[in-house]
Amino acid sequence: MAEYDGAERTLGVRTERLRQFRETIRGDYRATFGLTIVVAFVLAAVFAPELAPYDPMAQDFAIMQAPGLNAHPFGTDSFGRDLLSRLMYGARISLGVSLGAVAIGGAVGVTLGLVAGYFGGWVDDTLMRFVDVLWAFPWLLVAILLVAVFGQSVWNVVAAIAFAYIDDFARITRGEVLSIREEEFVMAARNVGLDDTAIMFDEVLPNALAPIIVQFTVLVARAMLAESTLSFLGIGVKPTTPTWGALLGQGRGLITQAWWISIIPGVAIIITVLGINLFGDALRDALDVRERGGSP
Amino acid sequence: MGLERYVTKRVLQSLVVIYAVASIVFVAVRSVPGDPARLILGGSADVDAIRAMRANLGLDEPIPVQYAKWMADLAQGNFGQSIYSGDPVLSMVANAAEPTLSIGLVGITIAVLVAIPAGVVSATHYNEWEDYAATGVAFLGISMPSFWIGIVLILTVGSTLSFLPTYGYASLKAGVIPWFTHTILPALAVGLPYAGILTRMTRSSMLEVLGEDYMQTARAKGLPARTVLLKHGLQNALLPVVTVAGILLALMLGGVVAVEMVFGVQGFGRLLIRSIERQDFPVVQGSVILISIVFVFMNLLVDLLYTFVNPKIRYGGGE
Amino acid sequence: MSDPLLTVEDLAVTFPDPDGSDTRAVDGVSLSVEAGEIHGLVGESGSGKSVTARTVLRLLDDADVSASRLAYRGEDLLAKSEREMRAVRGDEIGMVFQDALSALNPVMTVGEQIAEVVRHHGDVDESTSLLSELRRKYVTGTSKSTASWRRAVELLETVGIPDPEQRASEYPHQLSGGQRQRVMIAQALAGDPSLIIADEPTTALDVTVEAGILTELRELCADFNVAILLITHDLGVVAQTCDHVTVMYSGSVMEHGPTDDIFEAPAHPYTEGLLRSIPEGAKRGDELATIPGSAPDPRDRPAGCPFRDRCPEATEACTDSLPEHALSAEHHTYCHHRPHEDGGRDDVRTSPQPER
Repeated sequence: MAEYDGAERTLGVRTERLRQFRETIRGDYRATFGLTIVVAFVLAAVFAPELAPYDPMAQDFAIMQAPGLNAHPFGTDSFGRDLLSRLMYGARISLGVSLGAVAIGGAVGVTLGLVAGYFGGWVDDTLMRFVDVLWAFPWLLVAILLVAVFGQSVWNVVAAIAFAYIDDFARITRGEVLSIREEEFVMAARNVGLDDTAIMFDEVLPNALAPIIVQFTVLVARAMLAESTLSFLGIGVKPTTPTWGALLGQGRGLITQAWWISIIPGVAIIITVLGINLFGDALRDALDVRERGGSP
Repeated sequence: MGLERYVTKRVLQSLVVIYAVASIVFVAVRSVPGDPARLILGGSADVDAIRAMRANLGLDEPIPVQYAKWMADLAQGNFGQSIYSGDPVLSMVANAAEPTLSIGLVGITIAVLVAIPAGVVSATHYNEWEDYAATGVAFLGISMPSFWIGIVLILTVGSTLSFLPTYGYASLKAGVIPWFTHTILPALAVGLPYAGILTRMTRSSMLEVLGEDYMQTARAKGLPARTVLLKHGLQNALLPVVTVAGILLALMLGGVVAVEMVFGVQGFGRLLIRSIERQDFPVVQGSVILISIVFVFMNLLVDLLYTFVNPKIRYGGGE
Repeated sequence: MSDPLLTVEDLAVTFPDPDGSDTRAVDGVSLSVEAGEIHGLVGESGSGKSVTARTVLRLLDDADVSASRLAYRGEDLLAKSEREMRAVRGDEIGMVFQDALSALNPVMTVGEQIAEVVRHHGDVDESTSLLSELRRKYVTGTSKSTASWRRAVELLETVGIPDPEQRASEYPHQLSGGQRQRVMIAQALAGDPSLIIADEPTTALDVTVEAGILTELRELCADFNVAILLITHDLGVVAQTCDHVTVMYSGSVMEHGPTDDIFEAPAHPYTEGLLRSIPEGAKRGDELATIPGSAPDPRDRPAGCPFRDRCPEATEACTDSLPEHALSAEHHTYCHHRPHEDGGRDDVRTSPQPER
């Protein structure tokens, strides 16, 4: 009498785990600290039009490359634009690009890993060889190729970063799925005749989520660094777009005259990435996921 | 599986991956909007000149023929010529490689020298101030873009220690000391985030090893604590770290390229960026393929190194 | 009679828990091992027998240990510094762990794992400084011509490993389970100890391999005049091997005495239950005896006899004390109801139980 109780059992385990998880994460100063930072920056980005003291594009040639003043707490750039306002608008693009890229890379990678791990055999072999090829392209080269072919745009940055993270998500998901598909509740689901798609997405995936979520946070942090590197190199977004990396890049030649133009956006990047990393680290412990390496 | 069969299999796999990369680059370059010939000659070129250039570039032939020629060229080590200088891409990349490799290798060395002791100390002093200090610094390290570290180094160290140049590169041929003084700051910028990642990995791996039965056995045999830690623990703790070394190389590439720009080093990064700015397609595509080849074989090397340091694989059996 | 080799009196081991519910793994255990004997320490998993064994070598750093006496050859082990303990570990007391595959270092040849014990504790003139040990491990490898290596090969031969020269250069995963356990024994012997603590040495092995290992241990005990403290949950193993037995339950000793006495006339209800549950001679369809219930939670152990909730003879008296009765000079039990009311001495001693 193999009665099918997979869904309920999974649900029960899940609610219990969720409760434990909430308890652990609430007492973790890293989570509190990291989340506070991230939320603050997201709010600053979302409400930039309301909060920013100036139009980020407004030039004021009377106060070019001015250091921090009362009117411009973070100073101005070489066109006399307010750095604080540009940082707040830049947060929208920098955060948006990172989240978007990791979400796209995650969706593709998780699907690949899920299908490869669940079906095994030649499907697994073929898909994982494909993932190997993706992995052989360092992300910077993908970005360079895209920019060389299609020119500079936000979408190329998103595509390049997303592309780079597919293999990470695919490998992690596959590894989890390989062990989960041998679990009893998966067998039970198969015995009662659920089709493969339903089993994969309703039974297997929810149980493989913990390491995927942790990887997601880690990669959002790395994506912010990658975006800033690309913009800094001038192969990311168009130079007029105020992403943090681009702001930093504008100060490159002015380090000795106007250090704040590159240092302040850098500090913004570091604080955000630090916040995401701290939160991710707390998540990793709370979800009990093993540390591993991964793509840049 | 025997070691030779394993190596053969991995080499063949690597070749397949490189072949796929080259094919993707071929497709990507063919999908560039606009006519490369017109791009090279400029908008004012006349029709005959463009036709001649197309023939010269082989663009008038059917796509499958172009593809076959492309692959044949690559197989012979011909990666194309620069549109501007006419120099072969291979030699351009080779000339730009020394500064990039110097910065990268010194960077890795710094990272390893800092990270392994830091990770071990962190793990053995779990939840004590040494651990908090090491993980805190490591956290900061992985949260900083390396080019930004470079800028900060120029502003701080570079302006106080005047014997450390903050611009340009000196070849090893000019002597070890100028080479080193020019390399050390960019290498630090590249190496510190890398050190952060390695410290964290060494720490978590060492923590796991400290709980292993064989560590207790070693203590029960009456060995001194440091012998137990370094002789019995270290190699086991570093095994998982070695497996991701290859992945970390990719991380470094982006760092080195950006750091070269900060320090005005005429390396591979500068070559790439300039080629993109000038739309020198053959150089871009040739470099991409070359880097992929280096990258794939570096990883092959790391895998082989892993089999060498892990007797379970070297002598078969086990997992 | 002179001092026993190992004396443990009133040993208590507690693992502190920051949340307040400390785990009292061992609670008032006493035992003594005479030179050259095989002493069995029996109990189910969680009874504290492995903790007792590790405490003797002071291997548990996060435990609070107290004892009225923990002595090896009359020397107080609890008073020794870590450096002084290193001269006991491996040298005076060797240790054999349960799962040899995880207890042997996977990245070191078995020869080197034995040879390093010889170098640190044996009579060979080879440097044991950290640097020379690291050089052996990572740079030069262990020289096959050194005395320590030759001794390692000899020891492998002694414990019955065929082709010992070849085997010495191999890694643990290349050997069979039985061979790995023999390597553990050779390693324990390498410092020429007077006592070997063997923690479930055969549990992970097949029955046929197990018999071979037990025979090996008995022979070594006789040939090298080394005493063995054999920790096991298997009374069958005890019957085959041991001279004396100590039976533990939930952190406390229930009964101890010569093996024959205990098998022929078990005194404690728990020992009786254990003996009844051995499937020896049972026919198909026979119901095997089990002891109903389960052991108390070591974080919240009640005073008195820990077995009382499962004991068919428990009375009110069992809730406050655990008295010792001597059935003979060597055979003792800890129970209110032994010996039965009709006879025997009755020198009730209230064991020191903390008020809760």
